[in-house]
Amino acid sequence: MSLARVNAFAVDGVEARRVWVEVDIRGGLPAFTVVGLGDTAVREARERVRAAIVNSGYEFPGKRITVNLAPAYLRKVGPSFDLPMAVAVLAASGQLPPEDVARCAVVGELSLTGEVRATRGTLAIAEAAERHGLARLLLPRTRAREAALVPALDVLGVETLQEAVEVLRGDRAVAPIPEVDAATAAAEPDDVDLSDVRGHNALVPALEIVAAGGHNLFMHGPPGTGKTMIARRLPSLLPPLTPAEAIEITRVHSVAGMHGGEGLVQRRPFRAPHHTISASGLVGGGAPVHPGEVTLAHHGVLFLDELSEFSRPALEALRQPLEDGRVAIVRAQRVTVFPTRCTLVAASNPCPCGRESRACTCSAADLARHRRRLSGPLLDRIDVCIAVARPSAAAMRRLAAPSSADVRARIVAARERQVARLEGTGLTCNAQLTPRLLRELANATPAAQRRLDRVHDRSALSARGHGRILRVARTIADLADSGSVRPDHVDQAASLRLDDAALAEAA
Amino acid sequence: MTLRTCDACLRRTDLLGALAARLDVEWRRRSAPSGVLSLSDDALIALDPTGAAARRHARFRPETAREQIAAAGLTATCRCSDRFPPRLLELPDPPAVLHVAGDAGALDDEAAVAVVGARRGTPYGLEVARGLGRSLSAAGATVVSGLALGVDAAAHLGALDGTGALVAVLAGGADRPYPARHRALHRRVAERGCVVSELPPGVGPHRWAFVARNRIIAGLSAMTIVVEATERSGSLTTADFAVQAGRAVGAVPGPVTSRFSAGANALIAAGAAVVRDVRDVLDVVPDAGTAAEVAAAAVGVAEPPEPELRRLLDRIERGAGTAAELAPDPEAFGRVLHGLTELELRGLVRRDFGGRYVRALGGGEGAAAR
Repeated sequence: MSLARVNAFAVDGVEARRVWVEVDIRGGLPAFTVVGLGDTAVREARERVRAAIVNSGYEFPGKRITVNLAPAYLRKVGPSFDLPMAVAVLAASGQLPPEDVARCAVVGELSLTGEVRATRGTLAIAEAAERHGLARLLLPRTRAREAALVPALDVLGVETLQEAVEVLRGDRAVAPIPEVDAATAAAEPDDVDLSDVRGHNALVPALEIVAAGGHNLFMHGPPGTGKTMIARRLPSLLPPLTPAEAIEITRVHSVAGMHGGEGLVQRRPFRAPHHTISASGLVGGGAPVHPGEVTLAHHGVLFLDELSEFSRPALEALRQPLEDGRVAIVRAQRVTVFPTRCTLVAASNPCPCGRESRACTCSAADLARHRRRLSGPLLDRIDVCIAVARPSAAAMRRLAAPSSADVRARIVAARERQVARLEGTGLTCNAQLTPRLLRELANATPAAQRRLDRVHDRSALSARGHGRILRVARTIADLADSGSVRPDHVDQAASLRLDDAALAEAA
Repeated sequence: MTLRTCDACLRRTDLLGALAARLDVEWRRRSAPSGVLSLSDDALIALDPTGAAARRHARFRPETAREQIAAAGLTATCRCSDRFPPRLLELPDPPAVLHVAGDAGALDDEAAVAVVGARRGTPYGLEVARGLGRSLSAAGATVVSGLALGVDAAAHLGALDGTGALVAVLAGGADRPYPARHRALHRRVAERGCVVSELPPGVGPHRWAFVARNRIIAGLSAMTIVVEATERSGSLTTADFAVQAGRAVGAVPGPVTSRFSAGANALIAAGAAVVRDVRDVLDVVPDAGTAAEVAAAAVGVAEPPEPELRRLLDRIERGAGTAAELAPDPEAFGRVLHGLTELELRGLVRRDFGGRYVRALGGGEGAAAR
């Protein structure tokens, strides 16, 4: 037998695609060739595969070896083809029975000593393996927990090439999936809790509204007043992850190489990129295409501190992903889609000097420049704007904010009402309401509608601003367990609005 | 209604435009605007030793100038025309030609009021300028200013909320928005009145032209109000011109500790009328607007009768502006937000760009209707 074929998978966006690793061994001058659109890491695999096979005590055939990665049009990236290539070489040279490698997906990087090392995108690969009807997945043991999230799959976690061969032959039992290391679990930072925040009690209702409706938030306030601290605690207020959401987050984080192998991600992500980030860093891009911060914040919170300092192209690029909940990145002939459903929290100083309004030394021109930098397409997507002031000493002394768990109970109830109302629309929270759905579902009383019209006429809101107030009012009504939006809900929403009239003037 | 210009005035204007840069030098030497603007054409030509100005003057064709004015979308009137605003002739050196973008009819209001002040206005000054502009305009007055950053723009913006006409006087050509940032404001003022300049279209701004512009603002207005000015502010020259032309001067008092109000306070000390709101203006210039409309505009300045709203307003006036500063605990949050919206609807507070609430001046719901 001088021909063998092994199932492997290439990660493409947050999906995995099947790649056949075919090995042909025939007489001739000894050579080892890899074809099939691989990158540098794939070509370098030859050296790792050769050394790993020899150092694991197997024979590396001194013949003409050709490895083909099919389909040939798909670009293969990274070292995860090392193990499948080694298994295919061993099968082609008769050192491994071919029936043992059939219906088994193989993934893993090899070291020269034959150790099997972790690779990215395990969950996506496991899901794809199941989709292709494969029964078993051979992979690095540190990734076994993650692959085990796909229940139908027989997960073979191994540490060395030798172990892999023996497991495939059936000579050795599969090692049990390792428990999460107690030391690693203990090293996890304690969950941040809302009760750590002091002196901002009055902001708690606003945060509650933001979390309950999934609204994007803009915080305006001098440095050092706790904007970052508050933003960091927003994920702890959002409803607990559903199993489907947790799987999505795990898949994304695994593809991005941020997943340590502890199985399902249990916590909503919080991402706070620095303002020097590029557009492709924020929404994804590069070659190979890598998910951006907005994707890493999927189902969590994306925090942009110092919004005015971010580059214009980066913020422009963020607009569509926030609107659609997904981003499509087009690179020569290929389209990669990443999920991007996250809550945006933006923060900014009120003016360039950053002092409180009474001590501010900025001129009108400085202010106008600052506001012009802030205004832009991104603010269209933000429903709630709050001003954060430095808390007084007396406020700091008073009781801390309630714990996240207490606040979250009300938020979960409000979310449930929204989910029930939005059933059949594919949406999950008020922030996603389109103008048409908003009109149909808001259920504002006539008095509330009149109130809204007055606010609209008075402050010269755009049509969009009108909708934003109604959306937030709907969430306030949900929090109050009210079927209809009443005038006082509109009032509260109006005083949390982002004023685009003031913006238009600055621009 | 067609506006006419005579050849001699156009020729002089062309000369001013051509010599605009050189006049800056001359300006500093003579240190008084009349030192330059009262020079005859020949004396102006003599300022240019290269002789280029003399050649240009000799070759000048008034028809070309008229075509250029029309091409820039302007109209023009000169001081020899009976359509020229007669009040400007009371100036010692009236402009030869007035280039107009928009409706020149706005220049006919004998009781126009100028609101001018610092480019670097404080939030207080901008708020007052805006409120004054709004309530003057709501009373039907024509508001004149200079389209500059800060107080000038705030006065224009406020006036756009009302019904009165607007006039902006520029230091460069009337077709060139200056500063460029106020392009949109330039357009809106021209739609609601006119933008005027004494220099031909296309000429950029020069230092001397700003002071020369200030004399036109003072000349067009029955009263000049300085909102915020430091002791060396250019706005004070506008007040000086108004005094020279025998017009009323008013100033908005500011904190005695603020250097941004030092110039305005000094004007009051020197006898200028104290301007607290639009009623003080109408006391001095009764023709500027009608009292009934003023009464409507002034409704918003009244205190709210509800004790809770009054307490809330008190705290905003003392500088508290965020929900956190106004709501002592989450239980009060909903009530405070409701109160803030109520105050805003009555025109007593304004939600500024960061979400802070500040005291607003003048203009209830009706007055600010657009």
